[in-house]
Amino acid sequence: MLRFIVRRLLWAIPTLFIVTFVVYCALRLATNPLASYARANPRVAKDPEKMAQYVETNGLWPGFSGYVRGYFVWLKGFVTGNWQVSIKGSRPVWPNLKIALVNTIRLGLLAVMVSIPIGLSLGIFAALKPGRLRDTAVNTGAIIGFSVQPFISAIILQLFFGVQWAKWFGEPLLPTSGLYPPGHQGFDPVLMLKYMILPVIVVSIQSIASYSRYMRASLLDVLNSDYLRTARSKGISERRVLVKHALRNAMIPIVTLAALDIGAIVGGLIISEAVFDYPGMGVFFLNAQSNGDFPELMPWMVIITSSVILFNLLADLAYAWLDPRIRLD
Amino acid sequence: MSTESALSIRDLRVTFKTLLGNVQAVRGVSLDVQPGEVLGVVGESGSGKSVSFLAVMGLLGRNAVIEGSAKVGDTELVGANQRTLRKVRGNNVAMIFQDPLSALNPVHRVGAQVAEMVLAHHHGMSKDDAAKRAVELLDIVGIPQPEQRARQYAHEFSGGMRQRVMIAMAIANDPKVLIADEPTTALDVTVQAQILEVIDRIRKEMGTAVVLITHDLGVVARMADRVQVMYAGRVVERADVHSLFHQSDHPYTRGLLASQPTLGRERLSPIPGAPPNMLQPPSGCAFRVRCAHAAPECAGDVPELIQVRRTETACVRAQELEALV
Amino acid sequence: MRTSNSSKLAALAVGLALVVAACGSDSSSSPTTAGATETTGGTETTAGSETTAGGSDTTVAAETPAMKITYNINDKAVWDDGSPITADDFVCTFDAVMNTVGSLSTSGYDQIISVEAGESDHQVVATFKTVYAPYRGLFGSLIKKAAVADCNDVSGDFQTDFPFSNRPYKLESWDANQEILVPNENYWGDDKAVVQKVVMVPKADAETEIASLLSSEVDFIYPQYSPETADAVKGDSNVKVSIQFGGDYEGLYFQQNDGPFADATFRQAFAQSIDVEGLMAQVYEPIVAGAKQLTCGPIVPGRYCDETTFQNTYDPAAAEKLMTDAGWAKDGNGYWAKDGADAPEIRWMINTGNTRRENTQAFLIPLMQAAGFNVVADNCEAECVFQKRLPAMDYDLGMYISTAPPDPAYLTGSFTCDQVPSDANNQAGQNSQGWCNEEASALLEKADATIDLDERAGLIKDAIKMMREDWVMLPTFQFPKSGVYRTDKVGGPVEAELNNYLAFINFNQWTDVDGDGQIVIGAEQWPGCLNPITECANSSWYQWLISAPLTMGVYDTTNDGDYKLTPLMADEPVVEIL
Ligand SMILES: Nc1ncnc2c1ncn2[C@@H]1O[C@H](COP(=O)(O)OP(=O)(O)OP(=O)(O)O)[C@@H](O)[C@H]1O
Ligand code: SF4
Ligand SMILES: [Mg+2]
Repeated sequence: MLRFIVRRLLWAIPTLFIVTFVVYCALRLATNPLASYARANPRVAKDPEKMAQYVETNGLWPGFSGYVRGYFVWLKGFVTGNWQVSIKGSRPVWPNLKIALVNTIRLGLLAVMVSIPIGLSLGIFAALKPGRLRDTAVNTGAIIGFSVQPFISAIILQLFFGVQWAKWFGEPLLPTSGLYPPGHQGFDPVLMLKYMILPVIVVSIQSIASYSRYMRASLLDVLNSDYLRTARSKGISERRVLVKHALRNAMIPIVTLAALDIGAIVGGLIISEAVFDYPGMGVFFLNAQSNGDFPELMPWMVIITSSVILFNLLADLAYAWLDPRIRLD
Repeated sequence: MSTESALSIRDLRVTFKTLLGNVQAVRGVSLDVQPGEVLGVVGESGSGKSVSFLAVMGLLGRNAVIEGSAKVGDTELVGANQRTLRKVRGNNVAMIFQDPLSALNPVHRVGAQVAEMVLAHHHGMSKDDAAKRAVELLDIVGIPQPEQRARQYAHEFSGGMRQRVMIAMAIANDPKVLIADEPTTALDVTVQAQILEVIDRIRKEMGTAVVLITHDLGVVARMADRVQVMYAGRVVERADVHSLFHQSDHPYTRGLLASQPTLGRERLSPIPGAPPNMLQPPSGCAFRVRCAHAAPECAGDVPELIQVRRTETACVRAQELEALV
Repeated sequence: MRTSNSSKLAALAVGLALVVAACGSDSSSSPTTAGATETTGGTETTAGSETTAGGSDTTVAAETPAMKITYNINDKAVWDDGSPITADDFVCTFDAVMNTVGSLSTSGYDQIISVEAGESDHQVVATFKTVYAPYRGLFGSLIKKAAVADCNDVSGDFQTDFPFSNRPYKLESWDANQEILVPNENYWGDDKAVVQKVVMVPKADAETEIASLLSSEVDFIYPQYSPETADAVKGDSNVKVSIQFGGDYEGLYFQQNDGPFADATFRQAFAQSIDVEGLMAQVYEPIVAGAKQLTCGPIVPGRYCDETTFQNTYDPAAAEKLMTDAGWAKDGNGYWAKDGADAPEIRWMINTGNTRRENTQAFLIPLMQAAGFNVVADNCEAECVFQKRLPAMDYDLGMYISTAPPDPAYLTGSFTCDQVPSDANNQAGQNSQGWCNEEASALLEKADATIDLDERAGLIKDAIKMMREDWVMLPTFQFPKSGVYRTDKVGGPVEAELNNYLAFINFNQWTDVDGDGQIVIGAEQWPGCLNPITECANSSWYQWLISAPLTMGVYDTTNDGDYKLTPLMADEPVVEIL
């Protein structure tokens, strides 16, 4: 196991190099950092000497070899903590990125903590009586939940709990945007949770739908398996059959899926964050992207890809841990 | 006689309710197995062998309607509640299945799976004792180094060893009846023999009644005391092994015997045609669509088992055909 | 504008919203930047940000002083920590603007030879190398010398804080989530802060702004006006919409550097064939009832506006005669053609997704074709329009909104000969109409060197008359802004300054009606950083949220598009022509 982890981590390093290099090239092509910088700093742009210096310090040389060299310039700055500064106002990138990251992790984890138990319960509930009313209800619900895009559910919820509720009862039931009420300062977990209710619901709808579908399918597979018949033939209680034999096995693919899912959260809440003015990674990305801010986009991408790679590894470990048939060496 | 039987089945009927209609998988099966006896159950695929005994165990899905009677000792299993069924399962009646790999839980240690069987019917027993008993059982079925093996998972075992595990599990509570559903089909010939030996030894030592379901008439010839042949959800012939092999009176049984490679024939002559569709089984004798001897009267009443020569045969023309053999 | 928002949502839905740039970047226009900026509807997009103010390029660089301004600082004027505001702070501001790496604009300041203390540290003397009429736009906000490490480079300052104020409020906290202002106890002026706390919060777009206003999360929003806004709030009797006409104006522009409009006759006939009144009725009336045509040119009503200049431009008969006299004749398709050549095609460029402009095209194109002009819609995304094709003069007919700052110097930056994009100005000139009229350029440049306001207004009006004679553009409409607010939450003079270039600058006098101790203002764009010198400051919202509420300079803008002296000054600065 340990050897496997070490080997996978060692593999992750070249993977990260390759991925970040590809991302570097793609971002340079997409944002044209030099032109974006010139656009944001028109006066500097008129000074060829300063522009040349900007190219040198940030490694923005043209051509393939220029990209390769530029990548290493970027990499060196990145790993030594001398990150390139934002093209807008030469700000350091990390302070804002950190806040965005923390906010997104908070929202994402809460959504995961809500959607996994609910999704799995619904999937189990449906799988226990396949073809019955409850199964049909869960399946239909899941299909609807799947097809409701976050920005649609967000707007519906905002209109209902915010605008309409305020119309009927004088004030909204739930806050519809932001992290805290305007003017609030400091940390207040209760208020914070209240402000996260609607975003969490919106993020969770689709995951609940998908978890319930996966769980249902996975559990049905297991319920029809030979070893479950064996378990039943032992004369143990149905409860034990379900918990010890069925669920344990049905969870294997789900845990893997959940790990991958969580890994993708960091970059995956763009739409929901935007609709709720929730200052997370999504909003950070949209702003950086609209400015063509290469120095902000690059670390963002690195965090996203690292998280995906890390959670891929965790998914594999979880898989191996849950299923003894998987050998890690 | 039936009171002494370890397992006694009367007019068992199983109907599956499906989208296409009702599948009449078992249509009136009766049998008795005595303690220490091996009853072979043979028949083509789909003839209702497995379903009959899964019905007895209460292991069929919700879409199965079970009628008739199946008694283990004095306990009626058809229509019994879950509590009763649970008490009987694994305790009085145990079952082993065709594919031991898929029949064992992949994520639990083998020893634990055996121990679970022990614990299921010994409520006071400690986990440690159950684990020890599991090792003992593995030893009984001939698994070398049982202590180490108990800590392994099913995928770390060979096919034969897995089936031994299944047997160990099945015999954990000294069941009165052991139902073995094609226990050797997935194994190669030498391993097959070993497994059959284990079953036979256990039968002898514990006096267990064994139901041995199989396609393989060779296995039946070696192991069984009596045989019953099933076709389309019914028993079409029943006899002691010797009589069946040598004086079968049912055209289907004879067809089966003729199609068996193990009897030293040069050429197989498989029975032409396919088993009937159990959604709408033919009237009268279900075999008549394939039977070389079919006559108009075969479409009449469903033939019952009657003693012909040395076998009980369900064929309306059995008496006439005797002469042909 | 509705379309713009829904297209934004659609873009988001597609995934990574790689086209959001087309709708959501900052708009630029600041009092210190003397250039007009083009904005698209809904959310605004910058079209170039730096212009060189009038006179600067043509005046022979002479270090001989041409003008001197003496500023007397109010003795009572102090920073929020109680320390006096002195000439040092003016000097520091000048140094920071001129020397900071990435300084957004030096226009105007680059005309200054020196800024020094005068007779006391409360007197500032600025010496100019030219006579610089737009001087009221200079020192609009100050940088406190003691708050920065090096006045010659403040690019590293203001990272997370704006550490001083000389306004009624000071900054208590600022992050991506909200800005909190609290009263500046040391403010010396009469217009002291009324409410204990003013909070600004970001709102993604007009729809979320309105939703949060309706749900009482915010008290005041300031979106670009759209009839949908009024509709959306109709049901709530506590919400009031105040429609205001500020510096935004829309117009049609004729690119005459090359293409069909390089022919003056053709251009004039075309312009005279445009039914502007029909356009008002068809397109603008549905937006604001009683919409009146803008007739003063690329400028809004006020001191520099002559409302007769662009009256009665529609004259199809004259256009027909003009063409016929010049030897044009209609071809088989009914289009004007000449000398056996094909009828010229006129490429009309707007940014896609702007409903109003698309409606305008739908209305005018058939009319223009019937009048013999082969007009075709040739549209692209906002970014393509404003960043690429306008600067490259790659269009024939354009239509967009601009924002006029209070000082007319922006006209010099947008309509003089040497602002036509060329190699001489690195293709960065802002005159994307390609109009070069030496006489008009001279008038505009002279205006920028004319201190007397009336004389200057006369020069500007004359120059704009030439725009009409040369058919450079057709103004259509002074475009409304709207302040929308909850009367149950905020009161006082909420509507008093909404025309102001500095928008709701008087919020310090608003009152807290519901007694929750704060006023909450929703901001449609959120500045990503706080530095008043660099790119951070390149948006209207930066001005409204950060610099205007925190720093006071010599002049403030007024609601009627003029300047007024701030309490920072002891008296009106003395301008001397040397
Ligand atoms: N759950 C079910 N639903 C519907 N039909 C079923 C179901 N289970 C079994 N059957 C049908 O019942 C019939 C008997 O099946 P069974 O498994 O008893 O055959 P078998 O004799 O054991 O054959 P094999 O030798 O292949 O094991 C078959 O036609 C089968 O299709
Ligand atoms: S009853 Fe008729 S059809 Fe059936 S086995 Fe006998 S002879 Fe054949
Ligand atoms: Mg079977």
